[in-house]
Amino acid sequence: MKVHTHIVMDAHGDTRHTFNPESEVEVSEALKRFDQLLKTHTAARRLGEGRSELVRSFNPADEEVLFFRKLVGG
Amino acid sequence: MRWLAAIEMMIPGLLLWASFIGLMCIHDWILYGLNARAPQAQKAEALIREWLSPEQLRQYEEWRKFEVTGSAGGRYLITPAYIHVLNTGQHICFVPDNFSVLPAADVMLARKIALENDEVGALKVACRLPY
Repeated sequence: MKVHTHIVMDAHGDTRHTFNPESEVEVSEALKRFDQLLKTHTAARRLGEGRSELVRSFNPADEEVLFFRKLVGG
Repeated sequence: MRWLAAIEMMIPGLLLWASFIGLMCIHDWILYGLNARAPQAQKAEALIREWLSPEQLRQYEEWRKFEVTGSAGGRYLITPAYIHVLNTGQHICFVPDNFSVLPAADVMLARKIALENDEVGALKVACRLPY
């Protein structure tokens, strides 16, 4: 079974939500989570070799998407 | 004895600079060293290692800082405390808005992703540090 992951940076270091991209129910839940997170977070998918790409819409094919809160001046 | 007077005039500046370096070291130690063994710090450590390039990982393991090239071509050194703009020598800072609860490695990873994918956007929110 394939497992794709949404990783959310938080006080625990991160929290990981996994879903099976071949399961309609799990993809639907993952879509809801993605849309909810995107209101307050920036999302990026890992491309390998240190490269990444910002994502603005849900794609169940993305194996690993990382969410971190919107940036502010430090 | 003019040289002695010149050295005396430089002493306050040198002390100020040494104090600043000392404070930054303490800041890094608190951010990184003191909390490095906490479970959340270990998770963040594992996460950043997955997302860094081999060269960035080498720098991170050696110096706890690493270089990135921004999406618009700028070069930066990301440290646990601030970001050194290598092109200008300036120091800047931006963080996720929940940074106070995040391990330092998470903050560094967020900075890397932001600069490598949306350098202009990241610079818009960044604070310019006065040193």
